Amino acid sequence: MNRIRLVLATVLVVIFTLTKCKRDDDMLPEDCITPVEGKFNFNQFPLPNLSDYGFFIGDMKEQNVTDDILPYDVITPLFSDYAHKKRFIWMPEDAKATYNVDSELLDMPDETIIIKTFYYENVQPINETQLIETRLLYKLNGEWKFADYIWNDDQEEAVFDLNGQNRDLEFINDDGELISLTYRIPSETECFTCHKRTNDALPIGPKPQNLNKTYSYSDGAMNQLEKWVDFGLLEDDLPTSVETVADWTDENLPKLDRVRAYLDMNCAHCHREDSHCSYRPMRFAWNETLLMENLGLCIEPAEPIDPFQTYVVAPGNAARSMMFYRMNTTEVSQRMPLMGRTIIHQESVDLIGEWINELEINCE
Amino acid sequence: MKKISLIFTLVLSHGLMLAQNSCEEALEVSQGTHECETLIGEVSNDLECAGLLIGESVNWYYYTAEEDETLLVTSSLSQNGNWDSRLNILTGACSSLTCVAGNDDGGTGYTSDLTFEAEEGITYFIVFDDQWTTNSGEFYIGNEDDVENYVDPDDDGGGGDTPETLITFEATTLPNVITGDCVVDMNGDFLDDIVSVSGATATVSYQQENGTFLSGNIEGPTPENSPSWSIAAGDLDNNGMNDLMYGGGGGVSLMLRSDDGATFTEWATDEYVFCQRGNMVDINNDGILDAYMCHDVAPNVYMLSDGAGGFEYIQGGLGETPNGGNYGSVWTDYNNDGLIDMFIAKCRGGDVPENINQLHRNNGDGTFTEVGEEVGLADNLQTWSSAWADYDNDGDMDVFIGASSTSNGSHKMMRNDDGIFIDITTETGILASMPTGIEHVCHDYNNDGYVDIDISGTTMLLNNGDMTFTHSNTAVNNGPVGDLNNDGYLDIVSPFGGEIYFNQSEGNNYLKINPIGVQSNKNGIGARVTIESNLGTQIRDIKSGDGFGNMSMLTAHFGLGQDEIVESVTINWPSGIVTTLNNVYANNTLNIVEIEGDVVSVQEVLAEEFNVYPNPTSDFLNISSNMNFNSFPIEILDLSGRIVMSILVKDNRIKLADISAGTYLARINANGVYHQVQFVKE
Repeated sequence: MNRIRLVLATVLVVIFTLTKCKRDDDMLPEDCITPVEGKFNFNQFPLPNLSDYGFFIGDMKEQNVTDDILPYDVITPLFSDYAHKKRFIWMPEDAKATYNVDSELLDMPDETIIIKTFYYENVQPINETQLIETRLLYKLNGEWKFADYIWNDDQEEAVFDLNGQNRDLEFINDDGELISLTYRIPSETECFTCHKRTNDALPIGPKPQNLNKTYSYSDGAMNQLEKWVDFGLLEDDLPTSVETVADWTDENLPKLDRVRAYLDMNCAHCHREDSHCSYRPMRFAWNETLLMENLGLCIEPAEPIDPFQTYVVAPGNAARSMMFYRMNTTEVSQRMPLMGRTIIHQESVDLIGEWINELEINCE
Repeated sequence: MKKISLIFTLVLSHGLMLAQNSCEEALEVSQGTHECETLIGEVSNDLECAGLLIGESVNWYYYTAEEDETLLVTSSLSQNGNWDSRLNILTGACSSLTCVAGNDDGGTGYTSDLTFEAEEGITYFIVFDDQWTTNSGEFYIGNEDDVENYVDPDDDGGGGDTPETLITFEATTLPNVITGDCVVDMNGDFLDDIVSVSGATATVSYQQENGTFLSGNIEGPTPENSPSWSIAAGDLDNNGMNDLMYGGGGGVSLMLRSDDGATFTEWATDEYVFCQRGNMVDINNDGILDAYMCHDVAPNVYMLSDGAGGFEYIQGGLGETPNGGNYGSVWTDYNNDGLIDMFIAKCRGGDVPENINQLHRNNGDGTFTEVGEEVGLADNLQTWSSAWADYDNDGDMDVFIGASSTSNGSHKMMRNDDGIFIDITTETGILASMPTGIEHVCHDYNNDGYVDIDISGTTMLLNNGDMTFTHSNTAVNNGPVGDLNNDGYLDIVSPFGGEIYFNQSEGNNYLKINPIGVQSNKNGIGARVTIESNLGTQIRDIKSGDGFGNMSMLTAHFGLGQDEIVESVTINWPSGIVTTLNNVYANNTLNIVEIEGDVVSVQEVLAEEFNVYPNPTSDFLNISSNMNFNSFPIEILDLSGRIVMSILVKDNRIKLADISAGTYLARINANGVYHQVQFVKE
C-alpha cells in the first residue's frame, strides 16, 4: 500500500517538475535536461555555497527569502548561547506535510528544506549584526540530511562546512552587558547527536505544539498552522484544538508550564523515549511532563556528580537539585544540555531555581 | 532589585541585632537545645572546614568545655524537619580560627550531626553557614544521652537496606588538589603522586617518603581540551616522563612533558571527538605507547605515537558503531594469548547497536576483531564502565559490568571460562538493587588476596574468595586509586579534590610491582604480572585508564593475606619477553626491568656487598658488586632526599655528567629496602 503511494507520488513529482520546468522562464536550459528536477536539483545537494540555492533575494545577509519560502518561528526556542535565529521552510509545490499528533513532527514530504540562520546583534568591536551560520535540514528519499553554511567575514557568502569549528565573539546583550563566548558551529556528528530518534535524523522544532502561534507575515499576522495550510505546506486536516507549549518567557503563565516548555525544547530531544539518553528516568517532552516524576521530582540522580545533589529535582531546594546544578555550570562533562550551550542561560536558570524553591513536597 | 532587598535585610537585621553576627559577638550556649535564628552574620575572612569554604552568611555560637568530654552537636532533631543546615566547629582566636570538625547531611535528611572531643577550658565556636539555606532551626549540644527529639541517623531507614561498613577510609584534607582525578608516579620515585589539572597548569602533589606531599606545577599552554571526561597518563614520547591525555568534550589533547618534566607541549586533535574513556596503550606493539579514545557519538579514534612527539590520527578499527555509544574502554588480555584486548562498556537509549557492549580481540598484527557475541559479552546493558580482574584467582580475567541505569538490566558478574563469559551474577550475592553509577573499579582494597569492586563510591563489594561478594557500605567519592602513604593499602582521592581517603585496613600483607619496560613501553602498560604464593595465583594487567574518567596508579598491587613469601613473580611483557623473580618477601615494592629469563632474587642481591668508587668521583660511578645489578635502577639522591636521577646500571657503571658537584647518596631501590652509600661528585 505504502509502496504504491510512493510510486504514485514519484510519478506525480516527475510530472509536476516537468511541467514546472517548462513554464518557468527563470530556469536555465540545462536544468531542464534531467526529468526529476524541480526548483532544486537535489542530486547535487549539498551545494557548495548558500547563494547557490537562491533562497534569498537582494543582499543575502538581509535574509529576505523568495515568495515560495515561508518564515516561521517556534513558541519556545532552543537556547543557543543567546544566538538569534531566523527560520524558513520550503516544500515542493505539489507536496504537503500532514498532521500526525500535536507532540510529534509534522510528516513532511521529500524535498522539504528547513533553513535556519544563527546570528548575533551588537557584535563587538563595531557593534554590528553578524550572521554566523545557516543550517539546512532537507529530506531526500525519506531521510533527513544536514548541511551547514558558514558566513564569511564580509557577510556576502556562506560556504558549506560540516566539520565543525569554534568562533570567538563578543556581543552586547539587551541589558547592555558584554558577553564573551566561543560559539560552537557543529560538525555533522554533533548535528545528528541531537537531531535524531533512535538512529534516524530528524528536525526538532516543526511540531504542531511549537508552531501554534500568531506570526507577523509581510502580508499580515496569522496563526502559523493556518498559514501553512493556506500556503500549501500542510494538509488541511488539523484538529480543532492543538495542545500547545507555553511561551517560557511569558510571566503571566504558570511557572510549571514555562518550565515544561523550556525543558521540552532544550532537553527532550535527548530525554524522551528512543533518544540518546532515554536510559535515564527523566522524560522532558511537553506531553510527558504532567507526570512530575518525569521531571525528576524526588528522583535520585543515577549519575552522581556530588553527593550533595540529592535529587534531580529536590523540592524547595534548587541548590540540592541536579537539574539546577547542571543547567548552572559550563563544565563540559557536567553541563546540560551537553551540546549547543557553552555559557549559562541565566534567565532559564533563574526560572528553574524559582520553580524548584517554590515546590512544597516532601520526598520521603 | 537584589541590591534593594539586600539593604533592606541589613537594616532589618541591624534593628533586631542578635549577638550572633560575628565571631566576636558569638552567643554563648550551654549544654541543651538552642534556636539558630535565620543566618545573617558574617565571616571576616575565608575559612575552610571539612573540605568546604564556610559560606557568606553564618550564625555564631560558642561553648566552653568544663571538662574533657565527648560532645554531640546536631540539628538532627524531629522539630527541624529537613532543615538544610551545615555545621562547623571552630576553635582559636577570632583572627586565627581553625577547624575542629564540620558536617553536612550527617543527620537525617539534610540535617547535620557530629561528635567531637572537647578539652577542658577550651572554647569552641558552633557556626552554621549558608551553603544551602539561611533558614532557622534548632540545634543541640551536649551529652549524647541527654538529647531530646533526636533522630539518630544510624537508625535511618530502620537499618534494613544499608549494609554494614566492612572497610573504612579516613578522609584527610590535602591542599592544592583542586580536581583529584589522576594518581600516578610523576617523578620516577615509584611513589604515587596526585595530579590536579586546572587550565594550563597541572599541579602535582608529590608523595614524599615521610608521608607528606610536596606541591609542584607543570606549566604549558592552555590546552584546547580539558580533561572534563577522562584523563590518562603514561610516557607517550619515550623521554622518561609521564605525559597526560585529556579527554574533552570536543577533542583530545596530549600533554607531552619536557625532558626535565617541568613543562608541557600540546598535541591536539583537529577532528571533533566527543571523548569518553581514554587509555594509553601500545596498540601496534612497537614499544611506544599510543593514545586511544572512546567516542560518544562516532567510531572510536586512536593516535599512534612515533615516539618523538608526533601522532597519526586514526578513526575506525577499534569500535566502529556509526553513532558511537562508547563510554568505558578497558585494555586487558582476556584470552591469555599475551596480546592485549579491549572491552568497551557501551550505552545509548533505544534499541540500537550503539548500546551493545563489545570485546575487541587483538589479532597480533595491529588489527582487532570484535568478538563480543562469540564470547558472551554482547549485552545491551546500559553501562559506562566495567571492572576487569581475576576475581576467582583461576588465572584469567573475569569482568564485572557496572550498570549506569537499570533500563536494560542491572550489574552483571561474568566469569571467564576459557574465553567464554558466563553470567554468574545470581550466585555471587551481588544485589540488583545496588546503586547504579558510572565509575566501577576493582582492586584488592583489604589485601586479602582477592580483588574487590568499588561501585561508584557508594558500595564496596568485598570478595569472599569463592566468587561471592559481601556488600560494604563504604561511601567515599571514588576517584583515582593508589597507595598514597606507601603502606601497601590502596587509598582513594576524591574526584572533587581536596581530600584523600586513607585506607584504614590492617593486618594483611602485600606486594607492589612496578614494571620498567625496555623493549616494551617504559610504563609496562599491557604487561601481565602473575604471582604465586600459598594463596594461589594472582594476576594483574598494567592499565592506563580504567573505570570511566579517572587515572589510577600504574603499579600492580597484590594483597597477600597472611602469606609472607611470594614464590614467583612473572612479568609477561607486551614484547613477548618473560621476566621471572623467585622467592621474594611480602610487604615490598619491586621495580622490575624488562629482562629475559630468571632474574636474581632481590634477597640475594641485598645480601651482597654494595659499594661505589672512585670516591670522590667526577664523570662516572662504578658499582662494586659481584651481583648483576642490571635489573634494578640505581637512584642518586641529594642530601635533602630529592631523587636527582634514577638510572639503570650498564657495565657496572653509571654516568654522572648531568648532576652538579656535591655530596650524594647512591642507593639501590630493590624490594623496598634501600641499600645506600654516600659519595662526592667534584
